[in-house]
Amino acid sequence: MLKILSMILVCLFASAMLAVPASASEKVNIEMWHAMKAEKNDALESLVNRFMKENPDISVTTKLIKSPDPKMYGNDYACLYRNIIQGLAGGTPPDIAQVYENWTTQFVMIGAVTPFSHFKGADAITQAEINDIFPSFRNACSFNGDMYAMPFNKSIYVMYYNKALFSKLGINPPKTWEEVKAVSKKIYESEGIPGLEFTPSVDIFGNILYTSGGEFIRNGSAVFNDAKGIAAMNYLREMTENNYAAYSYSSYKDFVGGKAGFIIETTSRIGALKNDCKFNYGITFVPGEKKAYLYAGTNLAIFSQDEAKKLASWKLIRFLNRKENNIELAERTGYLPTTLSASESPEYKKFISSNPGYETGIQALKYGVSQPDTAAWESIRGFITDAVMNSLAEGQDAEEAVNAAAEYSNDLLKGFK
Amino acid sequence: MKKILAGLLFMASLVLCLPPAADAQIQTVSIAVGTSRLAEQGIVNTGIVYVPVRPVVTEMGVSWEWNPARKRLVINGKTVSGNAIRYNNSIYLPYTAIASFAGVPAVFDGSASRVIFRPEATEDTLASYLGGTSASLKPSVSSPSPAVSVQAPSQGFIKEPFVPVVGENDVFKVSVTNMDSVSEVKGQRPRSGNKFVAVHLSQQNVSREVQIYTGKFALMDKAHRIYEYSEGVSNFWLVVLRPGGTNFGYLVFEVPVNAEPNRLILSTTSRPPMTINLSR
Repeated sequence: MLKILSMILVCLFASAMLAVPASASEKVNIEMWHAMKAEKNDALESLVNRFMKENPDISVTTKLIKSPDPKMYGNDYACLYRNIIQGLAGGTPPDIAQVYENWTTQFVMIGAVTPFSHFKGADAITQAEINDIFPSFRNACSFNGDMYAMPFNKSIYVMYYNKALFSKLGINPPKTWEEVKAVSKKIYESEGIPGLEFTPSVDIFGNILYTSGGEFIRNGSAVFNDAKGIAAMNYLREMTENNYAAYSYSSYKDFVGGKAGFIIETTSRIGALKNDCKFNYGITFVPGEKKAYLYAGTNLAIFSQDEAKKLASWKLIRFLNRKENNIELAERTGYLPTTLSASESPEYKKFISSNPGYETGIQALKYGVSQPDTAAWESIRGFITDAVMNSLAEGQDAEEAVNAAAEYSNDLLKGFK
Repeated sequence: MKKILAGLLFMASLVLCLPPAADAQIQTVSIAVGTSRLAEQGIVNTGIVYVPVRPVVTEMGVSWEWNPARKRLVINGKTVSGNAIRYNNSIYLPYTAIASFAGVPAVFDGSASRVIFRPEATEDTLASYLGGTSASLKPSVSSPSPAVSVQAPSQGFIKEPFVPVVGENDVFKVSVTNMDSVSEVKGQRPRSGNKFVAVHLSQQNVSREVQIYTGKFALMDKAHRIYEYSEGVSNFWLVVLRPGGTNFGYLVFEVPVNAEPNRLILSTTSRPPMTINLSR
């Protein structure tokens, strides 16, 4: 009897062990940190939910990082970066997070992110997948021949112009910076408003620099103070001194209010512009002799230390990169597709036929250039922005201003080696 | 209102700020360039040895130019940065700054209260010459030059130039090279009743390990009030620092107009807070 009882107990115990639901014991929970708000967050959430349905053994928690006060704590992405850094230092990083290229450089340096070559067999990234990513995006995510991040929410600089005003004055969108000057002069002289209006920062300087054949950094040294950089800064000075251009912190608002002929912003403005702009507007390439267009936006990297979480994170990244999901994300957020197959798909082509402007972004991507990936880039951006302000607002000599910023940048680059 | 940009901190591109020398109790030092002893004297102001620019660089035979309209001083073709002061209607610079920009080694002999510039000497021979400390031939590259005010100097003493200070523990060495008020940064102004204070600093990893989180700086005033910095208008970015690596930039704090900041505090997760006294 006792024997029977003990056997029953053993059986009960064994069945209790087996009764632990397989899904609970094997379910992998991963956390994704991002800074995509509003409709961008909605798009991400619905894609993540679909991913979980497709992968019932994986649970994804998304964490939207929002800046409580941009003046005090920087923008959302600055807060995201600080969260990741503190998480890494405290041993509690996310499993997946959005990362800029210059962040990735640092994370690769300390071995905090997993290269995609880590995943083997059925989970290995295929050559077809790699080839499908826009080459400029792919290169910016690659370090020592391996990809450490997947392009995610991308936009590229384009020019938005007041088509109605251009028609009225009988002028065409400028294709070179000299034409920008001529067109701006005409707009200023006939309308009393600036042709070009811009935020005084590294971005307008960079747009002129790159489309003139210059660069920010080459072979680890700041080179934006070469002849092309000095010319770019002198150009901005001349334009603003003659009132052909104006700098402000409200260029987008002024443009949609009809107070400026054109602005240079990323394609992420397209969605809002459709609602904000009451006049007929056009979207075209950033002017300049060279087709070299700076892009912006982040990539996704894997921080998990646990193998199961690494794999789950990788599956999510691959899911988001799949053609139909890439298209959905692009259509719902206004970011550009990151793969050639998505950008060339009939679905996306249909979308851009009713949303002109994205086509310009896609075309520009063929000539897309990444912002420098040095760890010092955020600071260098600040130095160049200061140089722009020193030159435009304080009257500092253009050459002196860019030289000072370059000298400072090179000192910082040395300190980070 | 005149904008005073934090970006004016750049090395070798500064419009000079000319606060007059502090206090009437000024200690003087004699000056020699090679074997010539100058009639003019240098001064010790808040612990820094200053020498008059014009007679010294003229004696050295180094080119120089003062543009009063733009308040710029150019020595040897380089626009001068640093803590220039106005004293007795002349422009004075720290002797180390003149040595750097003119490319002429110099030494301060404290026992004899004299500064000697030695156009023919090397730094090494000069350092051993008097057993003193020679001035570096190059401006320090790893710490930012001070931000400056572009207000025109007035007669009389206005304020003391900032004296660089250093704080250090076994992980970080923090050098504060300047602290100044700025009225506008990146299109942002302080709220009514407040002011922006820009603190220019460098932070070096002096440990043997990579530092992932380099901490957060705060400012304390004489009334022991503590202020966080405004990250959106500062230019000092968190960055992973390798051993020996140095980060630098400026922090902008918004503080009440009557606040007198006198301490910078670095809080990290691994060490007790580091406090750097900003006033001597």
